[in-house]
Amino acid sequence: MSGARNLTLVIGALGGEGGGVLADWVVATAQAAGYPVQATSIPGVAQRTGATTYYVEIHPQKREALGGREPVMCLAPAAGQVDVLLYSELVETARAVQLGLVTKRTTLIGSTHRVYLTAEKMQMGDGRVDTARAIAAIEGAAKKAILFDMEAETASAGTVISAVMFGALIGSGALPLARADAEASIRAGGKGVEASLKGFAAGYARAAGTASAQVPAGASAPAPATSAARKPASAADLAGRIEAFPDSARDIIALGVERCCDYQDPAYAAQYLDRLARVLEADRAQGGGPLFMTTRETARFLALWMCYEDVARVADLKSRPERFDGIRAEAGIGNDEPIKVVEFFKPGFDEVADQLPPGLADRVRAFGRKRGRAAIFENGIHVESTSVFGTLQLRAMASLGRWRRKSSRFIAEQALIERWLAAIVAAPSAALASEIALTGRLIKGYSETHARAKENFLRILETIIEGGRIADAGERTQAVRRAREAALAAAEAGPLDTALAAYGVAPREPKAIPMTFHPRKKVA
Amino acid sequence: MERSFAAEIELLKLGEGALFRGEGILAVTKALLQSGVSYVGGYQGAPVSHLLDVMVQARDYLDTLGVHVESCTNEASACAMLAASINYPARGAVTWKSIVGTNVAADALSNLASAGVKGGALIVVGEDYGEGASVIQERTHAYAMKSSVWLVDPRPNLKTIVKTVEQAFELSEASNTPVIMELRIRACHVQGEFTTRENRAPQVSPLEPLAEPAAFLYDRLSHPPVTFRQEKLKGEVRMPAARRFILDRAMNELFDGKRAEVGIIVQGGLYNNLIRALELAGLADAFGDTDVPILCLNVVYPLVPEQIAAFCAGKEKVLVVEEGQPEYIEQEIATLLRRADLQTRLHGKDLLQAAGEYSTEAILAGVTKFIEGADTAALEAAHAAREDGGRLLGHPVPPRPPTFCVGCPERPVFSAMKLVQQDIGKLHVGADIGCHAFGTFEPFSQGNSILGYGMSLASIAGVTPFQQRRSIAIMGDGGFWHNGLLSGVSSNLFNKGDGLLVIMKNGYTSATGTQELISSPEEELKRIAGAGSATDTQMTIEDTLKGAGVKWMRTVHNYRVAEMMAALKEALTTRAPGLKVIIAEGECQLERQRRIRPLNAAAIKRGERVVRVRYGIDENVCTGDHSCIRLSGCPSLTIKDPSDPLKVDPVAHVNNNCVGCGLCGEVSHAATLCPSFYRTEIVINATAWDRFKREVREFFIGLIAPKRRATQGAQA
Repeated sequence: MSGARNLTLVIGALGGEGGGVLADWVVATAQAAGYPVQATSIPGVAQRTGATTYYVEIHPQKREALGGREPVMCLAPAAGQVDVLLYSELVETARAVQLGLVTKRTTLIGSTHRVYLTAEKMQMGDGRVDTARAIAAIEGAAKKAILFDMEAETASAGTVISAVMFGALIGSGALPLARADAEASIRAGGKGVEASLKGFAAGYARAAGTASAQVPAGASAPAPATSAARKPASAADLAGRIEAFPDSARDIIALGVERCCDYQDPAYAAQYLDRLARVLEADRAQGGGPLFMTTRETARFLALWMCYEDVARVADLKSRPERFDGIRAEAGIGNDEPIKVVEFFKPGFDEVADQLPPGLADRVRAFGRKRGRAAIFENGIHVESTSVFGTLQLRAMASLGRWRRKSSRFIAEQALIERWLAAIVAAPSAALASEIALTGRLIKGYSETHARAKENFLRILETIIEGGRIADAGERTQAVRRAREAALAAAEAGPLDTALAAYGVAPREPKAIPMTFHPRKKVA
Repeated sequence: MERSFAAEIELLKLGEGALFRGEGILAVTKALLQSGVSYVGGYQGAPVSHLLDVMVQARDYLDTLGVHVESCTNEASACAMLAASINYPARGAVTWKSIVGTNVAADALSNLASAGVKGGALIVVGEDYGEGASVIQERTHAYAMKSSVWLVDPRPNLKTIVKTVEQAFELSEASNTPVIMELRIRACHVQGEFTTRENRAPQVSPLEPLAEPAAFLYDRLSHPPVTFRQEKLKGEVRMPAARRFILDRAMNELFDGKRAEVGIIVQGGLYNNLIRALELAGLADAFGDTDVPILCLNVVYPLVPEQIAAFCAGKEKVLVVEEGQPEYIEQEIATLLRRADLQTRLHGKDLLQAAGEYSTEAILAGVTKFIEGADTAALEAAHAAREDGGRLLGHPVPPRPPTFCVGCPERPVFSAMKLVQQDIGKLHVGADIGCHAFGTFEPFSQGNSILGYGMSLASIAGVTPFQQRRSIAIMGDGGFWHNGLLSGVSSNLFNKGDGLLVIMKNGYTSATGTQELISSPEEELKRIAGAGSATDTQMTIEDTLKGAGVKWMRTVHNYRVAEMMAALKEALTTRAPGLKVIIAEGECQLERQRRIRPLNAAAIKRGERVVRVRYGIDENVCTGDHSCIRLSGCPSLTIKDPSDPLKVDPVAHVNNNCVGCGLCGEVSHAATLCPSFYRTEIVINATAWDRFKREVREFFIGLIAPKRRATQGAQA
């Protein structure tokens, strides 16, 4: 028996990323050098955007040295037996770690970018996998981890990610494959050769030049609040008041002040600061902690809540000239091509009522209920925001903001905000106050989603925050956290009801659904 | 078709002594031509789709050889094709995915097996078992046994696979019995090489039509009274002939080793994994040089009793490595050992896992129990690797199931179904096989049962009568023609049933690689459709249903979500009796994009005005509640970190994979979701009129719109 064993390579890609082409390139490159090689895969239906893996074995001795002997190649990777792992997406790489494919024998080459799973995307809050932890696990498991953002390299080379991956594989030097052979196999492929070679070179350079793993700092953390931004001129007098707040909250508060000015007027921003001052006072009384988390988080959600998105706000944002620069940038086009931008509005009776004074609003709502539907127009309306008429429509809607303070929604929102703030201020412990502040995160969405979100918020407020249901502050803190997490995890009532049931709160009555009757008897 | 096989067709033409480098299933295709097949048929499905796809695309070349190719409408019609080999010395091969395809073909298979064949008949099945399988888990082996047809399971390298195909035809002819070749999914996709031989022109072919049909011979009919004689022939004549052939031609291989007191009997398809397991256990090397003698069964049914007895004689114990349950081979070997009065101990499922793929690790676990003193380090390392991995990650990674493609026309139907159920309550949903089965995954989670391809309507026949609300059956056009029209529609109409059938008319069997159907849009329709959907004018399904007697039928374009909701609501609440059918029309986006991308690219190159559509989201209007995602799940509708430092939750975002299908806008309208979505129409190669319009507009808008701000709060 001879001792040389086959080298093993696992490639992981998502459907449409060119994993099959990549495997073909690897095979051709090994063949060019005279190594016995075999590749296989399970594409099938997983090509439809699922994850696919390709498995390659290369015998380390060239065919000419084998004297006609044929190595036996395996068709699937085995845990603990992988020499090189080449993956196109971070969480898929983490999955390989979970499957035991990454060990101290493995050179791992992976991309740090994310293609989110449906399960991560569909939550009410932030359901994303903790990427910092994933990166740590990947580095902890592998002999050597070469991690970089392959998607960014792909975009700048104008190619498919498989080319960058191939470059990184060859550049890593983990397999006895030569750059010249690799590039020749790309050329032999014949399609998009120049772009592929460019991507290959980028991947090669990243992997070859990488002494140790490169980790993007804080890949998963929400964008840190770096800038206090420029203070709006009209709010100059407010700047001094911001200075009175603790350091750790100041950046958020400055943004909040700016937002309120932009949304309404400096007086509104002053009201924002008044409200925060009350919270800060209570926070100080509780000791505040070095970071004043309650003040900081209240400042964040209070700003978002006070600047809730109504028709006037949305129309205003959508008709600002700088918006169209963003649209062009996102679509990857310059200023040359004419564009037409169309907005989708479906104003409901509720949205109209929101803008009216309370008495009138009630009547509009009642009228809507009588008509048995939420929307005013069955089919919604399209507004072309790049047209003169569309801009006029949007500016007219935006101008409603001037009378916002008289609107029914404004009055209702302010009342609820006060209730929330009162609960924060009245909280017997800093931990509970901070938890209550964080429930502000639940307030989001439009129309029905917004109504449901608010209903969830109110249920938490009424059942476990305001009432004396849970006497112990520690237990109440935990209850509020659990309820908030449940409400953020799913749009349906189920999880929150379950979380609250633990504290003796009865679940909501199911929503009534109109019955339909069918003839039960078969027709002759 | 999803893939072009232009390069592979050239491989099929290779002559004597050339080097074929390619995929396993294409090597099988080449081997069929080297064996002189007269006809080839089959039904697509991973992992064997490519066999037929390449043949269909190579029709011109095959016509010159005289090989007839048929894209059958289901596996039963494919299997029935093999009847040509009953009366004529014509070699034929058909292919499908197993176990599902074999189930559909079972009736024809029994009749074929009973009559027996004169020309070699080969069935190539993709044995989709274990990890990554997309069907129910059963073994084809049972069919071979019950129908007395032979089952070959070659070692997964191209040389052995090709040789086995060629031998299988001879085996079939020597024993007058059809042969099944099972190829596991990875073996079908394995890349390797072999030395080719010249293609053989078939003995019977359309190039030289026969003057007369075969003579009337009652013996060749599967009809009483001869069926009993045929049953006797299977055991008394055909099987002994087959066993002789297997022995004479050494189809099964013996790999001897110095540990003569033990032995392993393995299915050919598992040989490579077994060698790796032995290598890891310190009992073999990378070239298959083994200490433990191995009998490799490239033919797994029938076994040759003398061969088994000779291998086991004098050994203390043998291990049977046989994937899946139940352990048919092991049971047969037990019988053979008993009959031969051999005292060799028999191991198999007592040491190896009962269910699931026999990966290297699974076999290694068995081998280390079987051979005392075998090296267990690799096994322990595998366990440790998984444990460490799990510990390092903390939480298990959520799964990534496949989903509808970007812009898939089936997604909006599920969006509409989800919305309608919010209004009228939950419904029983009969799901089916096809891309639409992705509707069972998040974010839709629709479907109460899946009973097979085209079976959804039949599967709710017993449910509908005891439901307060109507039930829905979802079916693709592929499923409709495969089985659904007969098993579902005609049965429902005959029984005056109720219920709603939604047919996804996307024009192709998309899940298997967009093969064509009887109702696929013709080239002319595609040309006329241009960038639009080419399926709206193809009325074969509608005409068929009308002809069958469906009274309530609506055709709705998939992307019009509000219209789809209205149609669903009406169908679910109408007092009209009988079956309700909604044809959800919208061409497969893969095919549509394949058509329009080159058209657009060419037009742009010519300098013509082209409008590109994509959707987007105003980040500062999005509140990060993700309700749009819960109604879409489109891969291009994703999330990103908010650039607004005040927001903590990710905001929705449309990436540049967007093909502008319009679902985002439709859903935000239909569901009254949120005003964040916008549609952008980008004019490429703008005309002078476009530019003039733009200048005039921008002038007037400049007068109305607010001043540009230096910094803007949360704008991306």
